[in-house]
Amino acid sequence: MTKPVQSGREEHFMILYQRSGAAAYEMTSEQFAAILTEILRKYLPQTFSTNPASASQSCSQKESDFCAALRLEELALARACAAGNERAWQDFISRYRQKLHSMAVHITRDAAHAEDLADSLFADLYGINLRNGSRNSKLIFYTGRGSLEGWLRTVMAQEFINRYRKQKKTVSLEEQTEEGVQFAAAIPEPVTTADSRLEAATDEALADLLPEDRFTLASYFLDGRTLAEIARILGLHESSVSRRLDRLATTLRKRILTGLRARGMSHAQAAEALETDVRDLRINLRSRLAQESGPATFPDSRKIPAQESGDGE
Amino acid sequence: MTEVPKIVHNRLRVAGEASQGRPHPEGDLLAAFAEQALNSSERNGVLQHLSLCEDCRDAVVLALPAEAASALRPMETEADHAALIPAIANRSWLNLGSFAWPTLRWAALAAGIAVAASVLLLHPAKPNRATRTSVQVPVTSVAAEIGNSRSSQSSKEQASTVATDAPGTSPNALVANNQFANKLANNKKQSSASDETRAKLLATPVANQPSSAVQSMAVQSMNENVEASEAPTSALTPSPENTLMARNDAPAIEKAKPVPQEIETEASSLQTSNGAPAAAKAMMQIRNAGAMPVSRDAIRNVSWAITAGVLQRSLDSGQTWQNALHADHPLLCYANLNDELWAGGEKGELFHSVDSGLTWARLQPSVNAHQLTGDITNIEVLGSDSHRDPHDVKEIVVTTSTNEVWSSPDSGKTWNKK
Repeated sequence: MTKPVQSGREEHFMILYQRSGAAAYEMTSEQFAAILTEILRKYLPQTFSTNPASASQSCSQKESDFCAALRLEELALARACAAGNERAWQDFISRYRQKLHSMAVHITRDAAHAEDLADSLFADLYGINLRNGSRNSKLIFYTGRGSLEGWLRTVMAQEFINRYRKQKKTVSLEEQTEEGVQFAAAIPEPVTTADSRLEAATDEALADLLPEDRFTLASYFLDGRTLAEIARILGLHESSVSRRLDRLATTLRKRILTGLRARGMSHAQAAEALETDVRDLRINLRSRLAQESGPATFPDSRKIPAQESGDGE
Repeated sequence: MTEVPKIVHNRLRVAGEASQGRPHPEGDLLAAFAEQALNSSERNGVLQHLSLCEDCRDAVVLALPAEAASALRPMETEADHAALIPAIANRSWLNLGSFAWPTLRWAALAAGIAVAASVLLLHPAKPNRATRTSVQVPVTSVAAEIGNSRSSQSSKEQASTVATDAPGTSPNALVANNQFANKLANNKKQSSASDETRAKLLATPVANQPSSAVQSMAVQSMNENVEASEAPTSALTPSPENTLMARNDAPAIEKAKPVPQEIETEASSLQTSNGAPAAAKAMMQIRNAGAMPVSRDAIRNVSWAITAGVLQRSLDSGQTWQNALHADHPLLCYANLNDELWAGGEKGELFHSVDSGLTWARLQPSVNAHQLTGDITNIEVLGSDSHRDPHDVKEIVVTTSTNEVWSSPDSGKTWNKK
């Protein structure tokens, strides 16, 4: 399946170890190799779990490509911190303490919450909980796939959503009420008595789209994200997102109509089934979204360390 | 604004609710996703989850770095924090948050464009002074020219301190010009230094772009050695502006070191001819300076539009537009991916640019001697699946008014007709 490559894995890991600068944090090459093995096992399970015997001998092309893309230096820093190396921790503080604070302000837009959020994440990163006398640092979950800074931002954003989501929604609803926008009460919930044929045709049309297209639709129409935000997430130009939305709107309409006709509707009936005031629904959606209290959907990641890697495969 | 049938909203939401409780991608995967560091199958997996999970979508958006974060971070102070206190985060802040910085950036861009425009405005005065023979002008003629240039300059929008200095300093200029004449060896440096200063005063963004700054300096010091003579004057006469000049002069001279050579070559070409070739050359340089993207950010901000068959470009999000491509036949559509840009028009006209529209190549798609001749009504650029290199263009697809679909897998070298 995977062709063996010139160098043995040990040799390869040694090169990566030297590149990472992990030695400066008193991390041995064996420790670093163990970390790499753990990461490879997580993200390239086929290479590892299926054939551990051969895997321990040689290093596949796929594997070395994967390792080459890792942020080795940041990985070494993060894991050395997690292992309790004082010098690594000092480096981490000097590089990220201030950034963590700025990130928290950026995410919460509220000084009090920002401080709270940054401090609690900082404690998690330091590993204040002791287990068997060792630190239990969140940094152990960093795998070097993206930048350490990006990971910190993401972990913080997840934490923020877990903690403040309910509060956020309540407040935004209160603000609406203050502004006299009481549509949430005035307009009844959208009645989901749409024709089952329409639902099926729509589901089918949506299922035919690429995941990226569905993501774009959900971000734009359900979350009310701006084109710029979507473009930044997808690494595209704003105008590309705009054109994609236009194209999606056309495609969806066409496919739903086709689906409806395939389900026995006449052209006129199909067109009528689609013809409704979109704005009504958008308002209803917003109010519904605001009313829903988000469930605590982010389980603490340390409780489920590796099980979700399949989700991204 | 794009709308989709309401049933689409409905079903998207229902699909999201139905899949609640599924495990979320971990932070490292989401972070790598946001940095475009996943391979395509991983990326699709994450996108699949994101399309169903509002929480994760929110997390990804919240985790986006503050725009131009490195530039802003040092400025984030307690005062900024205080300004942020009022509202607990709701979605509207995202719009507010992203509003402030781009505005500044556009202002910087506008300033950059103003510099380019001022260079262009200065140029027409050149033929009036065509007999100018480089920097080594007798003192008296320099003084006379101060008068000339003053009138011509006053008609231009010249926002430089040097220009506003001119009326009050002409007597001093004579005195100073004696010294100036004694310092002929230094003159060229000083002249370019004064222009450098002006460029700095007008807009720092352009000064950061070495090539365009140097080019405009060269052109200006060619055309404006009257001002060059004023530079030492101002330096000798104490006034607020002059202090500013003097302070800026020292480092500017250092920076301007590569320039004198260029001035000399330009000057000699001016002396040997009647000035026209040099003028043309200068014009070319100005064009380049104006057309050069001011920075990498400018490319990111560039927007395109087709107006009356002409492709136009805006570097300031649509406030001002420049013509970017004018073809024989009206253009009808365009498409871009990163720096690559395609534009199509009537009668099968198709153009391709790999540098955000600075240069263009005309493509003539043909398959088995059959040429694409219909009006091109749509162009689509499909990016590569490899997200490790999003600059890769996988395929471009061109649709014509005659319902032909042409595609090229290699940026227009070979074509297939579907």
